[in-house]
Amino acid sequence: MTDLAHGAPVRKRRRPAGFSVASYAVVGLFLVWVLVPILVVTVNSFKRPDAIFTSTPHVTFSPTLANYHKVFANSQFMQFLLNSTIVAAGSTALSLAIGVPGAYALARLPVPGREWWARLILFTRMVPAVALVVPIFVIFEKASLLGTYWALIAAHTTFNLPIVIWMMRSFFEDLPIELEEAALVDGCGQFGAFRRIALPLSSPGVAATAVLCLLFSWNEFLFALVLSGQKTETVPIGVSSFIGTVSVDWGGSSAAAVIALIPIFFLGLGAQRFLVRGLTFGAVKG
Amino acid sequence: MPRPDNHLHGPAPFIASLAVGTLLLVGCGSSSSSSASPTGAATTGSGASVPTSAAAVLPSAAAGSSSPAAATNPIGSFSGQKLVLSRWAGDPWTAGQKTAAAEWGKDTSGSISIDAIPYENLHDKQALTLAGAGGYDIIYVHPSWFGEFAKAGYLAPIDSDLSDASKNPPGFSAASYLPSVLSQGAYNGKQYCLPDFVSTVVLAYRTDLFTAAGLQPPKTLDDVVADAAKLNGKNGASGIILPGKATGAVSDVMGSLITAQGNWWYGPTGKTTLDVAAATKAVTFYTSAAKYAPTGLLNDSVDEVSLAAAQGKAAMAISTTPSLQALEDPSKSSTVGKWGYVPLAFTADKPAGELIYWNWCISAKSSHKDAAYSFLQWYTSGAQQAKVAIAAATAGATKDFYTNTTVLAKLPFLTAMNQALTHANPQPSLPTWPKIQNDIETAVQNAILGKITPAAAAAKMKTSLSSNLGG
Amino acid sequence: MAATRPGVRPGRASQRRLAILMVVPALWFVGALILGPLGYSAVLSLYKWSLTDINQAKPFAGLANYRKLIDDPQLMHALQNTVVYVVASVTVELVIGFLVALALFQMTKGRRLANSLVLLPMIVAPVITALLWRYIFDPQFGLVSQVLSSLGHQGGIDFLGGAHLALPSLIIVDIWQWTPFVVLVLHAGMLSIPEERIEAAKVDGAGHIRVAWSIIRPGVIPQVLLVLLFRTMDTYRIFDTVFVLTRGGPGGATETIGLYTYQTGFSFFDMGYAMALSMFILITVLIISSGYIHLLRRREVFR
Repeated sequence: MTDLAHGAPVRKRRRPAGFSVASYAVVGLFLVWVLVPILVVTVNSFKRPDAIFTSTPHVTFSPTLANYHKVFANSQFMQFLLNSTIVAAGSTALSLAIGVPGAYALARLPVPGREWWARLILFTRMVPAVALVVPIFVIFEKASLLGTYWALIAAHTTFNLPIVIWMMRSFFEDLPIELEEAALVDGCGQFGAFRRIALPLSSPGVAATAVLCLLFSWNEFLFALVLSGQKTETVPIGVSSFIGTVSVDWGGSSAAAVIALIPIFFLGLGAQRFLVRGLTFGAVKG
Repeated sequence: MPRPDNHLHGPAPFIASLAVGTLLLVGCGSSSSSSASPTGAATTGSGASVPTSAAAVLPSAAAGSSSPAAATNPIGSFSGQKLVLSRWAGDPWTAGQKTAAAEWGKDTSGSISIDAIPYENLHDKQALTLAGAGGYDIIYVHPSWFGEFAKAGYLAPIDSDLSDASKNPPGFSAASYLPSVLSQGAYNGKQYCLPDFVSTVVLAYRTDLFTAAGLQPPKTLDDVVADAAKLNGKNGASGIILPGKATGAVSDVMGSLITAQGNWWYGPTGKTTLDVAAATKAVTFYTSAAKYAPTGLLNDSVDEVSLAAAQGKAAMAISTTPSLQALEDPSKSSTVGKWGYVPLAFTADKPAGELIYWNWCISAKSSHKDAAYSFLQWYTSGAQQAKVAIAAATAGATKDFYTNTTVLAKLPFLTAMNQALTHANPQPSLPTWPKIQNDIETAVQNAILGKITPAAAAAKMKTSLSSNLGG
Repeated sequence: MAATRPGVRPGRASQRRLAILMVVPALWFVGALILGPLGYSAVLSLYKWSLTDINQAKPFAGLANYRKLIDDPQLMHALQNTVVYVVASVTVELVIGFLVALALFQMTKGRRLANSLVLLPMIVAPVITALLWRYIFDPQFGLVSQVLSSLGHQGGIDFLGGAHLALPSLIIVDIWQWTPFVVLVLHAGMLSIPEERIEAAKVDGAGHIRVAWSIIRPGVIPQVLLVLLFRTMDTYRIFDTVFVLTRGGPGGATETIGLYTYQTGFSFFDMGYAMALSMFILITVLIISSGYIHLLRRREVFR
């Protein structure tokens, strides 16, 4: 039973046509349901306001780039994109730098209370954001780090680090232990076994984990709101400023949303195989 | 002058002065001076005297002594000073402010960058930033959290700036502001903020649909319900639309409806004075009107209300005046020029409204307080507010603003707004208000849903007010 | 694969030193920026304070905030809504997710493409999700209303403003965003079922539906438990899409405990009570999830 969640055997099957057609229909319908909202907002981003707010729907409309011009004319939006990139990359790097060695130790080395630590890290995923935001704000305020990239990078590491530890731990455990033992026999030392053998072998896992961290950091809102300064605000704040209750700018917000979606779309494709693994803390290895 | 209203912050003989004065000015506007800007002329007239009661303003205005707003340059030179301004995001307001900030920077060699974040998150962001190291110089403070910030010592007093002739254009002082609005930015006897965004809740109605149906413009709220019933479903439009989402606008409408009955949520001592009968009547109006509203009322905030009305979805709309500008904006409206505006009134002789405004304040931790004051003085002055008004449909809080005939002509709802503000109560600025407001809005929503009766909704409001304010 | 995997040549002192060296930065970070702040929140829940008191002396309130939890009708109401939200969204996501995963499992071509398209909603930021659905649900101009009106139905449907539809509408948004997660997890589980067992069942004459029911369904039980664990944990705390889409309205019909906690602290200025509510959420979610984790540990999915 233990192998249930592991390894994906290659399948070669032939299905009778009827059942197969039904399967394609189900998946097709589901894809329509999944994609329509995203397509609608994309189409809206190319519409003039009067074409969005019409009582009589038109199938055709003359596309405009005005909404995109507006988003980029808001000179801050480029800054938002830059800030999000810095914060996401920084938090990913930090999480990997401290998380990967930690994960290896928890997977392979005699850490006292190893299982207990691992469970504690799972527990951190249950903490409501409201309970973390205020104390973390106080810490960074005392350290005079508010409004700096460091504050956001560290804050995003609070949710990225547990993911790195759990995912990398499961990757390391999947490696055949004999290779590392051979390295030890060759006189590499335990750290050498990690650096020369385990790390290179699990590099696809590191890459997948990195993509997930980038993704979660890119989308995060509450920490970004509370800890950022005017110069370090990220894309979700920028997008939501188009949606406020004061005045909804459907065209502008749609364009901003599409711009924000494009990078994570490609990240998502890159992380495709590992997304589930990340979201389930390494417990599902699809 | 009947003044049934209670004011928490100072006696504030509210806007009777503003309203009647302006009305006269609107009336005689065409015959009075030819508007805009006599260059370099000092702002004289209304600024010279210090009217403290309604009676004092009237003669001076009627005598035509107020001159139109004169454009003055910002005062001072702040080379190398970089200020940060915190406000909510939303165009045209934010865009207009960016232009103004750039203009101010050109004249003073300082610079202001604007941190515009969603209104929903503005309080939290400001409260945390000010509790921390600061980081903001100029902050746009909503009445509902002004008291909290002032009490916490986040704001810098500006009394000495206001009375310092070197920091103001000739003739400009605290007396240049409408006293009842300015006094809302005072706490424990100290002035902290300069107001703008003066607005209220009014009714817009489709003149074309009313004429076609042979109806007179509605004079009372009973007329509104009757007309909504008659017009509902005709020409693809519902009878009326008004805000129903719990974002503060429902409470603004409710505040206007109880003010129209001479009542208010609380009295001068801060304890509740809500008359349950008045609140019941207000909720009853709300629920009756809601019957003739388009689908989705309870998730409509002011922007959805005006957008739906602008697109011809309703024959009447009750909303805040700044949002109603969408009706006259060709990029959003298919009904431009087809709207008339009247104040809310239960009896025709007593139009009323809640006074909506925002406070411009300076952070106590700012190291550029002089520069910040320079910007605020200049930005809230009549001449600058005239530009804001034309772009974004909010009124200024200085007396000379109301003498600018160019602006008055551009704001079709201004007459209705001024009538509404003859009986006005300012938006509450108690620290406990957000919780009470949420209770009020939830009660109204439940009454509209038919889950509770209007009387029960009113009772719930009273309970919330009593438990949060006492009385 | 066992719950405790032997380390490489355990027992050596140098290994232990290395282990501590490697694990300390991570644990220090978890302690300093997660557990420390959490403990601080627990302390703060014993005081009466608002955001502006953050750097000032706060009056100690003892257990007053926790006593308030016991008879707070609004909390009870929010809890009811939350339970409906959790049960409905997780159930529907599980059922649809299983069917779609099964269909995906049967596909021979285009599975990779379908996989990458399916994951899209999961990676959309909540802010943008709310924007998408606000437009779709808008009774005047939204997509559904436009489609209905072109079919001759006028007046639109009151999704987010209707007493009975508001909560289901929010659940629909959750289903849109997170059913893909269920699909991918269950699909991964199906791929790990040994091929021989399915073939053997077929040889015994089992039809597709029978195979699905008696081989595949029990085969993915660990993944189902995982989905239950993660979706319950997350839906129980839901607040961002609710905040943007309905603000808990109409008439409190969509007030969840996540939203109530946020509003109490940030909108109603009662941070002490908000911290107590956070602790309540944390403890209840811990109890619920430890049930799942216990089951998962028995199946050795989570170690």
